[in-house]
Parts: sequence; C-alpha cells; structure tokens
Amino acid sequence: MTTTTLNHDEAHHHDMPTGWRRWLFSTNHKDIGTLYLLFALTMLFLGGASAMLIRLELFQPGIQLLDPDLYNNLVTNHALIMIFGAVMPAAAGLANWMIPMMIGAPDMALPRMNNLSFWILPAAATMLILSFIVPFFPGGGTQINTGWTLYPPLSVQVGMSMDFLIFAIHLLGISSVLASINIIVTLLNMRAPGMTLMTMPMFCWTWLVTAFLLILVVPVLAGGVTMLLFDRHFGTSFFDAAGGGDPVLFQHLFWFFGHPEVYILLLPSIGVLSHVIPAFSRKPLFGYKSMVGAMLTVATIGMVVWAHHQYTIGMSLGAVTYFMIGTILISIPVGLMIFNFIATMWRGAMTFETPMLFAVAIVLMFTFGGLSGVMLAVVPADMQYHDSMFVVAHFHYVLMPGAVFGLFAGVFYWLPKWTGHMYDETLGKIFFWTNVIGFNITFFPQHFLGLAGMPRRIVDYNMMFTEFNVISSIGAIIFGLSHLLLLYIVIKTIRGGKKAESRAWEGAKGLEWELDSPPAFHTWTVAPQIK
Amino acid sequence: MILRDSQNSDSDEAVLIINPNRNLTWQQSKWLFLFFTFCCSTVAVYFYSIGAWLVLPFAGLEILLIGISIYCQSCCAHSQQIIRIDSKHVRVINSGRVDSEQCFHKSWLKIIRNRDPSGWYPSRLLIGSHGQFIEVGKYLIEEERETLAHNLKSAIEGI
Repeated sequence: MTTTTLNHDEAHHHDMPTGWRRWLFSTNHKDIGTLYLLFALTMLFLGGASAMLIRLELFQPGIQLLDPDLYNNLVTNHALIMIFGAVMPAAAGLANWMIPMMIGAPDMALPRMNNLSFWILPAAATMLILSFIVPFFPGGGTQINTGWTLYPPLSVQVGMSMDFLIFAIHLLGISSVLASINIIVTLLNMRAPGMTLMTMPMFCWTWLVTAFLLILVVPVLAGGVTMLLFDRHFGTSFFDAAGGGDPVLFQHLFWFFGHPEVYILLLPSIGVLSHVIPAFSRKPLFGYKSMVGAMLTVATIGMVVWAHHQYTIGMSLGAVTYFMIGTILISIPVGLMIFNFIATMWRGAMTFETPMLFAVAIVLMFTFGGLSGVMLAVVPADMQYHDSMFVVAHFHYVLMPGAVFGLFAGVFYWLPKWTGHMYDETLGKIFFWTNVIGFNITFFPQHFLGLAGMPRRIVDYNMMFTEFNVISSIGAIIFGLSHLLLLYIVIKTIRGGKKAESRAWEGAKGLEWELDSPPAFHTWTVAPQIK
Repeated sequence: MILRDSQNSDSDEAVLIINPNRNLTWQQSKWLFLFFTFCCSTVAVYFYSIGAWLVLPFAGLEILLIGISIYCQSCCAHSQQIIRIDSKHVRVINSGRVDSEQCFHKSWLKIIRNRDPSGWYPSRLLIGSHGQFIEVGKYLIEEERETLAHNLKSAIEGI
C-alpha cells in the first residue's frame, strides 16, 4: 500500500460545463443523448431530401432531373444515410437519454467511451456525404451506383467515392460497437439494487438484445468491406471469379449483417411501444415474459436466415428450403409481440395522444409489412418479386412504421420529460395524420407497381406504370414536407409551452417518471425504490 | 452504492465500508466475457472457413474491446473505500486497481460537505486536516452521503 495525500483543490475536478465544451467534452448521458437525437434529425432531413429527389425523378417516365448513375448514387446514399445516420443514431439517442434513468443508474457505465462513440458519427457522416460529392469533382471517378448492398463486381469498379464509403462504414461500425458495449455493460452491471433482469423495463431489454446483435454482426460487415477495399487496391481476388474468388461470398457477408440490421432498427421501437401502449391503455404490458422470449427468439432466428435476400443466386434446394422455413418461422414470435400489444390495449381505458396514435398505426402497418414479408419469404413467389418495387414497398412498410414511427412515438412520449414542456397536442396530431397518410399514399401503390413488374433502382420506367408513380410521388411530397412540422413542434416545445409534470402522462410507469421534468443534470440523487 | 457500518465491541475501532452499486460479481463478469468471446469467435470462424478470413481480426479487436470494457467497469464497480476510526486516528483506505491509504489525526479532523451551487453535480464529502482533504463516499447517493457524514461525526465524537 502507498500512502498519498490528496489536496482538496486537486480533487475538485467537477468543472461546470458551459458553451461548446459542454457538448464536445460531454460525458453526461443526457447531453450525449441530445447530441445523438439532433444528429439523427439532421440526417433525417438529408436522407429525406435525397428521397424527394428520387420521387421527383420518378414522377414521370423518362429521364427528367437525374442521369442513371446519379439516380443510383442518390438511392445508395438515401439508404445509408437513413439507416446509419438517422434511425440508428436516433435509437441510440433514446437509449442514452432513457436507459440510465430507467434503471436508476447515475450515467452510462463508460461515459468517455460514450462521448467517443457519438463524436465518431459526424466524421463518419462527413465521409458518407463526401462519397456522394466526390464524383462531381474533376478526377473524382464514377458515381456509387451499387445501392446500399455494395455488391461486387460493380463496387470494385466504381471510382474513389467507394473508398470514402468503405471508411465511412468502418467509422459507423466502430461507433455502433462502442455504443453497444457501453449499453450492455450499463444494463448488466448498473441496475438499481432490487432490479433484476426480468423486472427491467422492456425498452432496456430491447436495447440489450439490439446491442448484442450489433456486436455479433458488425465485424462481419467490417471484414466484408475491407475485403472489398483489398480487391480494389491490393490485387486480391476475394470477390473476383477470374482470380478464383466468389462475388456471392460478399452477399453472404453483407446479408449476415444486413438482415439482423433490420431487427437492430426495429427492436428499440418495439421497446418504445412496450411503454407507450401500456401508458395510454392504462394497463400493464400484457405478457412481459413472453415479450422477452419472443424478442430473443426473433434475434436468434434472425441471425441465421440472412440468405433469404439471395434466393436468386442459385442456392441448392435444401439451402433455400431451410432459409424459407426459417424466415417464415420468425413471423411466430413477431406475431406474439403484436398479439401482446393488442391484448394490452384490450379493455384498457385508452386515450389517443400522439404517441398512442403512432403506436396504433405501427401495430396496423407493421403487421401489413410483415405479411408482405411472409410473401417474399416464399421462394417461388420471391423469384417473381425479387428486385421489384414490391420489395421497396415491403421494406418501407416494415422500417417506417416498425422503426421510424416507433422513434416518433418515443420522441413525443418522452419530449415532456426531456424539455420540461408539453408539446402542442393539436400540432402533434396534425403531424401524425399528414405523416401516416403521406406515407401510405407513397408506398402502398408501389406494391402494385412491383407486382406489375416495375424494377427497382432503374431511373426510367414503362409508360404503363405512370399513374401509380404519380400518386406515389405526390404522397412523397406530403410525407416529406410533414417532417418540417415535426421540426417546428420540437423547436416550439424546447422553447416553451405548458409545464410538464414529473409524470407527464397519467398512465406512465417507470423510474424515469419519478424524476423532475426536465431532469437534473445528474439524476438519482435519491435512491430509486424497486419493489 | 452500499454503505456498511460495523463497530467491534471488543476494540475501540469503528469501520465503515463503502462500495459502488454493482449487479455482476467478478465470476459473472468473466462468464459474460466468455459468452461474448464464444459468440463472436463462432461467427468469425464460420466466415474464416468459407474464405472470409478478414473477419477474424475485426472480431478479435472487438473481443479485446469488450474485455477491456468489462474489466475497467468491473474494477471500478469492485473498488471500495474503508474508513477505520480508532481512538487517535482516522484511516481512509481506497482499494481498487491501485491501493492507497490516508491517515489523519482525529483531534484535528474536519468534515466538510461541498455542495455544487448550480445543483448540476452531487455534493462532495471531504475529510482531512491541515489543508489536506480527501473525498469519501463518492459512490454514494446524496441521502447516503448525508448518513455517512452523520455516522462519521458520531464515530469521531463517540470514540
């Protein structure tokens, strides 16, 4: 043992954070959560702008605004920005804000790592945006026309913008892994005394599973894109058939990441729903244990059915049968979750504030997206639907209600807690209706377009698809512009409004509602009582 | 945060033991790490077997990072502060990755509670003398810190 003396002044390291230092050097989970959410909102508008351009181009047959390569570059960037820049950071923002408050922890387990995992994101976003911009400069090479799947040999052939994209994916992966480790360690080691895993809030459970999935799949994507980089610059032939490689190997690597990624995007929103629906039904969540079981089952099966995205590559009959049955099996635990949500609402004293409206819309539309997923899981049918607009409609019906609407529900549910003000309910409802109606006008016709044979990722289309494309583009304009209202509501709520009580919603349960609205910079100065 | 207070009736020494809150034992932390190692290795080895050997270094780095994170957090969660008060001295022993001990003469000991005027940070409980102070009970919540201050005062006055 050593004997040391600690000076009072030296020990006083708690400086008051102010100005830009508060945000740049922040280790406070609430500040970092806010940064994540603001970043996600910015990227939502960026990704949304690219979607609007895509829909404007598709308003009429023929080539109007965008040449084919630029169109596909926009498709690629739209997907990557929305998935990695908007949805995942928004879910991480909710996790940062809510998990410590929900489990009675003073902060995340590794606060400095938390800071790092956020500040990697702007660098990654810059690289991602550069990958879009670089081809416009002299010597910038060709556009990234591969789509977000980055399949070789096309991705080996495009210009230097692909290198920017590969490094952006690496940075995004590092950020995700750091955040996931932090969340796992926090949830497993920092719960308030008396809070067991099976009494943990459902949002925490969903994030525990999400973080675990991320940890399993991110190294595979990192390995895949590094192999792509090696093929591009170091003379290897991992994916080049002429050199003894196999381009299909990349598809396996990509979809081993890509399919669980769907659940990574969905599960946090399922967690949000597990709080919103009981709160506005004024009933406890129906079947907590079965929800946990269903989620673990979805995650487990979801890890081993990735090749249902690759039915057309020529797999053996045994392989496609396995992947088909596995994929269809996922609908059982997902159906159980939906059943639990409906059973929670059953005979509840329901009220329909904005978060609950989104929750009900999710239950309806996500179920619809899930059903078209079962259609796509069936091999003979998928052979027809593959790479058509039907697939575009399907995954937007899964990811928009399943992930994005869930995040909107979470934002409206917890906004009074974060800001200390109630949002304008009338504006919230207007946002909900314009958003949901706009969404359905945009994507519902795309089912028919796909079934009629319109391919995805093609800038032009046959005249016979014009009517549905016009409807879809009008819907996209309504849908896109409705998000400006979200921005206005958020800013208005931050600036003022009716004071929110600690328990902003009558039926809200959980430790986070024991805290003031807005909560103090450091929370849980009084021990939470876990019954 | 756990505060244990024990006073031996046979001797004139009071002992206060303070631990941060934790849910996992060292053993469970090791099992957790092994679980992650097994899962990540299984995935990496599968892809290695089909020719994607570049997944291995990324999985290895990730396992290393998980190990470091769990180790650092466990070290932090398993550190403890022991305050021994006898008839003449007050000893504060911090045990964790680096052990340290401070000893103060009881007659000169001061107990100071520093509150953050902004209310952003928790208060700090300092004990010491002659301009040299050390923070005690930093793992505690506000209510427990108050109890500790009271217990320290009683122990110092009582013995």
